[in-house]
Amino acid sequence: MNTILDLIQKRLVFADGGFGSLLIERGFPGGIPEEWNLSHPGAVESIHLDYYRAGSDYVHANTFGSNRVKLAAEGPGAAALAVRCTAAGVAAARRARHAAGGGDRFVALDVGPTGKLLAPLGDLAFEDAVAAFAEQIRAGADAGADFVSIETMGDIYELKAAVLAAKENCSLPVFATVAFGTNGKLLTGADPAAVVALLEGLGVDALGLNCGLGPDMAAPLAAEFVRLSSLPVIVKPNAGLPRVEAGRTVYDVGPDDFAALMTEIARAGARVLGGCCGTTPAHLAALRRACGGIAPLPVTRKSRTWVSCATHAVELCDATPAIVGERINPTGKKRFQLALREGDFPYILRQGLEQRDAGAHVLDVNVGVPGLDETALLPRTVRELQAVVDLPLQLDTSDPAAMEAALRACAGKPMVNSVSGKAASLAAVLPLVRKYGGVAVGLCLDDSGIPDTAEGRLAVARRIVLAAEDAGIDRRDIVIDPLCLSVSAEPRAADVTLRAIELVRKELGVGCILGVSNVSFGLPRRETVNAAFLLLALRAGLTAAIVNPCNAPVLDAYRTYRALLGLDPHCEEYIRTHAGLPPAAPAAPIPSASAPAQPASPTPPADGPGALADAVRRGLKAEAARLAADALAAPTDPLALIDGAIVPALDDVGRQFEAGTLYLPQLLVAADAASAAFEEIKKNLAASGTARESAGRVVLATVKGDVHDIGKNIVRALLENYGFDVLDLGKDVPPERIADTAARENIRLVGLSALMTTTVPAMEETIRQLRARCPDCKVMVGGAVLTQDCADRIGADFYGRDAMTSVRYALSLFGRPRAE
Amino acid sequence: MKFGGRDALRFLGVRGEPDGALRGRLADAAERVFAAAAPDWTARLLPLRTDGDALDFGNGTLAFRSRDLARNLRGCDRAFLFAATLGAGVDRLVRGREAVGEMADAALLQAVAGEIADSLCRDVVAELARNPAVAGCRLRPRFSPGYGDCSLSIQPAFLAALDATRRVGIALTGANLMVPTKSVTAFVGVGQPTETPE
Repeated sequence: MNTILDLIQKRLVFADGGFGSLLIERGFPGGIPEEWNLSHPGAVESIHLDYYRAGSDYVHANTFGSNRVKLAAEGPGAAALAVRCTAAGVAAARRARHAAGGGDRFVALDVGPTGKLLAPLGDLAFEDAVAAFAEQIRAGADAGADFVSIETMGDIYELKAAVLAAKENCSLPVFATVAFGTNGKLLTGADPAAVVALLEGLGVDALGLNCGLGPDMAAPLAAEFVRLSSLPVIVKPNAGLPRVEAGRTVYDVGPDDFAALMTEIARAGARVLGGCCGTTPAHLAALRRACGGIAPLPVTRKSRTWVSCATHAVELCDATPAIVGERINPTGKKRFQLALREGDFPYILRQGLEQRDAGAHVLDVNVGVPGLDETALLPRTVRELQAVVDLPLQLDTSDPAAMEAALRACAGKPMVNSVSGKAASLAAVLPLVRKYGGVAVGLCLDDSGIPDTAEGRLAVARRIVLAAEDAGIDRRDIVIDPLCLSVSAEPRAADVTLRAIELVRKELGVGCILGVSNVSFGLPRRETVNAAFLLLALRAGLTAAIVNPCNAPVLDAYRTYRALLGLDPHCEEYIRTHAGLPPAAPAAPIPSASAPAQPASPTPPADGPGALADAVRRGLKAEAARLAADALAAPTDPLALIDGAIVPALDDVGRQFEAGTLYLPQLLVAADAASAAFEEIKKNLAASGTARESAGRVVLATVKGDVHDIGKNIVRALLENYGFDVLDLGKDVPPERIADTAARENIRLVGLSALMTTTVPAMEETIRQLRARCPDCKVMVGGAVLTQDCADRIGADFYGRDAMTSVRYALSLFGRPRAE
Repeated sequence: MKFGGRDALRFLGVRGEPDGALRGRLADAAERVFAAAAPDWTARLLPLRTDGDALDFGNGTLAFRSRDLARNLRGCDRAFLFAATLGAGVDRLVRGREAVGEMADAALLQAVAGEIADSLCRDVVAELARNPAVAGCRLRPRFSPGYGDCSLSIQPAFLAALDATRRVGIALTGANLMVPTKSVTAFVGVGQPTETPE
């Protein structure tokens, strides 16, 4: 007997079609469809049998939603119910298979989405999603499913959770399909290339699309999958787009039209054909009749090297060598180290955004600082970055545990920086790349160091590539870093590296990556040397360059290279960049921060603390940063700058806000401008190894059940400007965690925020626990739903009707250390 | 969808006429929200049975008690249920600005997105009113779960009735709040054709 994978090698394979409407025809009244596996197994079985008889090679067991998250409304029994429904669903499909005559017919365990949105947009943690899928997949495998079919996924991150769960909990083949909208993107924005890069990296056996669209709109997407993927492509569209008629959803494409449209998709190279919503056994019978005789196109290996993020993929190639931004790295940067120690993620994210806006295609992420736990910090940084910056990442660590944690957290196919020719490195890193997917960066060094010659480096590269292939990694997923020493120390360094690039490209057929700036170490005007070396390396065959994209000469060299060699059609990118127009970045532009928030005061002093105070008052961010930097260079005592200029200006704006002559937007732009000035002061203090005196430590949280946290974040921004250390616990925070933190950290003030009436009880409970655990701690509350009465009723010490009154309360409690 | 700025200013607590700079910032924020938004909605017209404050939409599809909603729907024997969202891109936009400490911009975007979501709902209701099945009928003001005594606990069944998670990507958190956050669910009662305007 064949397996499903054997069958797929030989001919077109036919899946089944819609299920829900057939269940309704058999009397299903609504509710949980999977419960019918237990209560009406005969009806479920009969639908499967109809599909087998219509010509389906496999059917999806009725287990689409049988996971504990989807069934959470069933209460504490959800997990057990999910397992029972899953097992019974697979059993019903197996009985139908037997009744149809067995043979080359198969049963897929159907795995659909949880119905929850994963964090950070929603509140389902990635590992909780993995656990829910794992439970379902174990139950389905135990019940005898032939393979796992993950379907209708609309979010790259949830898709990854499901595939990982399948890979970790059974040895069955895994198919995965996603649901595109009419815009050709998933609900969370991913395009086909992002889907293919992720799924091929995770090692699924077949991939494609289902649901969402009719066969006409699915056709171009199916062709795109065939063009990009080295795997068999699955296409299971709906019977057209849904339309509501007299309260019922109807689909318009009948069996023959459906089959005719699907014939085109089959001829374009799809391997597995079926239907989704609105399709019936009649559609499948027509499909099988129409396509059964079509000889499938061969599934061909694609040799392109891709990395991806949650929205798109980036190819590492000769036409568009990737710019890998190197600035998220604390080595030799005191301000960056401080940010990591303080958990100052806004600072790190700004480095990411600046590099993206400067033209980076990929961001290197290195957070290695002695004394910090990289295993926790690297995945956290990955999660924070990918929520804000839509670029693929290059995970940069020598700690395999940190690498694995970051690979799990990454919502895409990252670069893995790095593996070397050392036996220990190969053994530790390659299995991770194999399991999670990624493009491994292979360093040309081994236990005896960096070879002196290009041939020596090629030999190490060859060993890495062969070891990777032995580990089951396609060589397209390796790029070699031939390494470069400084030319000031080693005169032949650049030449050896350039020849190594040429050799690796020619002999091994893999791409090359290089940290370009090492070459100029110890020389004056390093960026000139770096730019020239980048040009030579690109010409030698570099497919990715690790550089600082904010360094203009280097990026200019890159763009000029592409224009000169005809890789930039009509020199479009070159012209756009130099005409001062914004590049076509996929994300929203950064707004101008220079618009004044209120009419300029008569004649602001041109310089000094007065000018800085004025810039803060007027919300002139760039101006405030520049004036602070100038004053510090003068030099001015940073603390005098805070107490003499910034805080008085904030106070002034705060008073006007309280008097109702200024409003929240003006208050906030002033706060942002103050933050920009503080950033300069922080840099200065970090360099001198000192710190601003803390005004006090405050815990802030949005209470359990509430996801609205902008109010709390505004209070945090203002408190930080006034010198408070804020422990921000985030949103949807359980009472225990707030009380624990306050007790453990010996906190004197906790601020709680809630927007919804439904979450006030959680606030009350939090206060109760705080009173019990830390009787001396004061509690201030705020948020749209609260009033003074309500605050009194739930036992708060203070009701902050707006952000400024909260700051005043904190100042009154701690006493103001300086200023005024 | 339209953006005039009045509601956004109200959400921000701004009274009186905003100055030119604030107007400029609002317009810029609106441009970015429109660019990030992927507005989508879905709706169903269901028969309605009422008995005091007990409401039953679609013969058991969604049944619960609410005095305030019953008052809103008095005299209706049908109602639309709709779910509309600006999409996850708007949440990402706001969160992205917050995450890098741009609080002024984040607050502005949040307020602007609130106004635009409201405008989307008005468009949806206008579209529902054009449905031939309700020709000549007067529609009641929209009423969302969470208003008055209508509990958010009906949200799972409400979204399930519309298959809104799969169709338009609205999911619920553990506390039955919607994500993407700029999403709205609402009932729109369909009055009798003979009903005279109140």
